[in-house]
Amino acid sequence: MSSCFLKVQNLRKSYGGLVHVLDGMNFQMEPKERIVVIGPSGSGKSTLLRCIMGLEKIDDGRIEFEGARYIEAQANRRKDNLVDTAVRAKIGMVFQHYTLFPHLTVLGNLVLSPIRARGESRASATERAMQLLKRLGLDNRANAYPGMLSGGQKQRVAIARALLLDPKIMLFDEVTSALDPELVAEVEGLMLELAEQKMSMMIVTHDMWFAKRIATRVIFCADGHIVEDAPPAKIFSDPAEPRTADFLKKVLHVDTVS
Amino acid sequence: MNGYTWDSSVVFSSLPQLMSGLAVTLQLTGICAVIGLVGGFLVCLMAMSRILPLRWIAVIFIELFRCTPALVQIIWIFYCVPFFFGIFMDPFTMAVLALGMNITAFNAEAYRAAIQAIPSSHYDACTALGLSSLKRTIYVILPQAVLLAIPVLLTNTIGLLQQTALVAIVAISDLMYQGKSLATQTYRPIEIYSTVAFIYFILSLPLSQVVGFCEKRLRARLA
Ligand SMILES: Nc1ncnc2c1ncn2[C@@H]1O[C@H](COP(=O)(O)OP(=O)(O)O)[C@@H](O)[C@H]1O
Ligand SMILES: [Mg+2]
Repeated sequence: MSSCFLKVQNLRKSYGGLVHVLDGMNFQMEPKERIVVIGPSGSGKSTLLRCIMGLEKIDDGRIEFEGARYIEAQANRRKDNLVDTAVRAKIGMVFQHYTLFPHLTVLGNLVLSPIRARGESRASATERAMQLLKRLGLDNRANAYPGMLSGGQKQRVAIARALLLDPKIMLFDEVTSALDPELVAEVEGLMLELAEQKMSMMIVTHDMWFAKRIATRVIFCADGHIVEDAPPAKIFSDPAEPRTADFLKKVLHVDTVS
Repeated sequence: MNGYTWDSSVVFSSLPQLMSGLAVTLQLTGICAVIGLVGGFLVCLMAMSRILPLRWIAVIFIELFRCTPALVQIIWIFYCVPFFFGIFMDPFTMAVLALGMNITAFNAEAYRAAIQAIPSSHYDACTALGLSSLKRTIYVILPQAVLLAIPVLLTNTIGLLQQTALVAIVAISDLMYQGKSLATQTYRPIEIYSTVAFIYFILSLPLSQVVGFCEKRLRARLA
């Protein structure tokens, strides 16, 4: 059995045991793929990313990463089901609402985890953080507090904070949904830059034009299942499943993305 | 004013005695403020702990002090603690105990509200960043909670300064007590009590300005 980059097997998750938000999900991902997850609101897209990040306790199934056991459902474990916490350190996640820590400066947010969780020296972490900020054109905001930044800047800082930990894969959960329309481009632009650098990504977004541009693969979820899994050119112009076509028609108000 | 003539000389001649009372008031306020800042945080941690008995003790403590008048608390501690528990302390210590526990209860609530105001997504972000729960508490939750709680903590401390006046009733020679005895000695209650009120006001005013300033700064920072 060849080991693959990310493998999700029979993933089940419910809140309170009633409705299965994820009802036996299966998929595999290769390095450098950029999977965009689309689907109606409440279809479990966030839950899927949160499970992969290790933020949720799953009911059943397993997740492997780079061939290593990472998360497995275990009936007798109370809190989480991480087999190997070290694997989690290879995964980065950015959330819809920035989640920058308001008591720390931009630089403080960036170096917090490298220093406190990874034991990197302050000097080295600061140097790496400043280089990264410079690359993103944010070095002049290094000493600003998050409250002084625009939404687009906040989200780019949040992405930088995750990148500074050298993740093997980045998870993005609707990172532009809270932004004013004119600020979306700078965040999507940064994600496209990461795509050029061959970063592996899983992206949840409602922006179908962006999805078409960045995805190497699109997964359409509904009712806790993967309904369709296809390259963007295929799924947006000629969806195989009627449900996919239906959904796309609703969100786009047109028949296909041109 | 009903034939009553204001006599400023009474004010000046009373000042030394009022100042000695003020010293007691400030001492009481200072000691209890420190007790409240530290104790409040500890009680808050207890009230949010996973160990049930600890939580119960903290919640009962908080509610007892929040749901009875401070004046009753002071009198009760003065008369009933020696009676029930056979504990005898000097009056100043008793006053520190009563006022200190009172502000501890209110500050615990301030800290708790602040911790609960931190969005749960920050806990997720910490996990995603690989911070352990201890490090999360120290570097992310605590500093934010203290920042968020500062305006309420300061407001509680101003309240404490005013409340110290209540200990005059159990014969602690604070500002209010000295004012009361001067008023009876000199038969000049109008001048004396006006001066006393003015002193409390002058002490509290800058503090309440600081609260406003802090709130503005915080709102800008935590936006
Ligand atoms: N913490 C939670 N507790 C209970 N129900 C939840 C919780 N989080 C999500 N849900 C429910 O799970 C379903 C899927 O949620 P989510 O994964 O956020 O969907 P999506 O991101 O696709 O909109 C929704 O019906 C939502 O109400
Ligand atoms: Mg979602």
